[in-house]
Amino acid sequence: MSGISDTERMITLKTVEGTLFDVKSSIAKDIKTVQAFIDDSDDDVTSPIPLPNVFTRELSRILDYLNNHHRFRSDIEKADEEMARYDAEFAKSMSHEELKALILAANYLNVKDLLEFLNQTVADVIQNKSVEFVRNFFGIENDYTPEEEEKLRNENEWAFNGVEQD
Amino acid sequence: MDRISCLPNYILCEILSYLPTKQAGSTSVLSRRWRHVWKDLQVIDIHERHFRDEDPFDSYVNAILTQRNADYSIEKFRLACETNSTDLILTWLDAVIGPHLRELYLILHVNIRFGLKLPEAIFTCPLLKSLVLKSEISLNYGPEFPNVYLPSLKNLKLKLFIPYVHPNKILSGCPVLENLTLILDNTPDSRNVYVPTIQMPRTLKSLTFEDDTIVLDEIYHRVIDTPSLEYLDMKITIAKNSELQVSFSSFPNMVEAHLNIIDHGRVEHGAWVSDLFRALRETKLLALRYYTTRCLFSAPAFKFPEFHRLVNLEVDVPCFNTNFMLNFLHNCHVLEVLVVGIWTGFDSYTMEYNGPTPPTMVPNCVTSHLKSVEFRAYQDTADEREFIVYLLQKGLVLKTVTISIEPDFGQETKYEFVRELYAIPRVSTTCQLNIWP
Repeated sequence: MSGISDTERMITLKTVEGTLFDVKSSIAKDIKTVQAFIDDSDDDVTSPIPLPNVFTRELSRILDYLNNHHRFRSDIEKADEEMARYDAEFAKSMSHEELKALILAANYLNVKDLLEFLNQTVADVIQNKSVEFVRNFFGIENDYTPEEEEKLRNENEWAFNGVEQD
Repeated sequence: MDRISCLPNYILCEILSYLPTKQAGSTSVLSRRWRHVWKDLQVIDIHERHFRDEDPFDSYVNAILTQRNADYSIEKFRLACETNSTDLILTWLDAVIGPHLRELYLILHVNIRFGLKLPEAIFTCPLLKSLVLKSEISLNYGPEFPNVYLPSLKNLKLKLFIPYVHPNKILSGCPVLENLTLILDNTPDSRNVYVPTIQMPRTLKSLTFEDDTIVLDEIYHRVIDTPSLEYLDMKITIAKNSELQVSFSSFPNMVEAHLNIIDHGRVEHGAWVSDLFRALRETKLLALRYYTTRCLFSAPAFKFPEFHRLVNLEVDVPCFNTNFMLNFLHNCHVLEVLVVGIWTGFDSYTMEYNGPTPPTMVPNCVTSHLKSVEFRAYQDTADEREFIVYLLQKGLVLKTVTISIEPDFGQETKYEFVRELYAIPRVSTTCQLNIWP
């Protein structure tokens, strides 16, 4: 469609499994870890950039998210509405495991907006849920002794008294 | 350790910052790793309803504020509570207000006559972006109102039960304000408060303005000189012997406008209401509530402006007049959704519409744009019936017409209306007619 995007420089990313993704440099700018790699390289980056902590499944979803957000932003009319609708769908389509995996990937790649959105999505899931639910959700192993936990609950009484949680 | 727990504190805190602080604090027992995480939170959100009535709320808030890590300054502070310990609230606010504060949200119900007077330091927070103050908070500092300079303030909401005299003092100290909600209630205490002039900041993009204070035998000025405005929701009540003058700019970027002008049958206000109506001609959504249309009826030599972009129109009318409605539609070139409500308030007025007879040709929007019509509190007057017949016979692209019949009619009468309305032939083969008796 537009000549600029056709000639825009492409950057190749390589996941743990070895899958290669071609990414426009304007999108790569939002992936701070990748951008830092490019900035640190003396020459033009031509070979694939390895991402030793990122799996194909997560990277493809993250690029999907970034591409769509770029598209919405370039289309000023209704950008906010479309973006909100897309985000809601995106949040709904994730299982809890996928959500956690994406947070780790977005944190490693340092994609600020996406990470913020994922953090909020997690908060929505655990909102008003019991400590036990949150522990299970994150997969946290409780390393307190029952006595220690009881003591802590008493010390921070304000956090535990009151309205029943789910 | 699980992989989420390996994330740095600031990421975990970002998750916790979307939760009420009470729940964030409960994560301290998840595991040793989580014991102190919540203490780095820079967003504190305390709502009394999250606690039980018998809980010592004040000491709980004290505990939260003293246990948290003071090296991380509070950036967002939300507090909603009902308490008599105003001294404590002031202590908490002193701990919160400062150069790092970005959002402050206070709903305080305090049992003291003139409300809680906020620390003056609030009015000079350099990074404060959003300020929301509701309920019994006093901004009445007497003749010496503190200096206001909030260079970052984008969002301001004031809905106070306690009368205050100086909205201008605050508004003039906000050079980049974009979203303003200003609710001036007419409480027993505010009855004698005279706010002669309110000047909205020119930078506004969104304005929600309710003014119930126009009650004295005085002249009032409200100035809405805001050329960037995109959203307007205005509700103004004007007492019988008060005089209101409203001046405004044009609004070339207007998207959504709601007007609710209650003027108790005074025709003098018709002039500025019809001027305002004209100034809103670029809007995409227009809602005229209750008495507002009567001001237009009674405005001398009123003429409809052309609404080139109007897609949604909601009109309440005290009684239905086909000529008025058709003249309106002739000036809405791309209208897709029309909602008409017959509104019979506590003092119903009959309206004489003296405008011109509408052109005989069918309005452009009716033949090519109008998809949805809703008619509320249908009373089956001759004009209403004529208008419905007209739309069903001329509306080539109509998809749905919904009519709800005024509830005061008896069952028999309602069903008779329903039978007759369903019998009207429709030109649009896909038009669905729903009637709620």
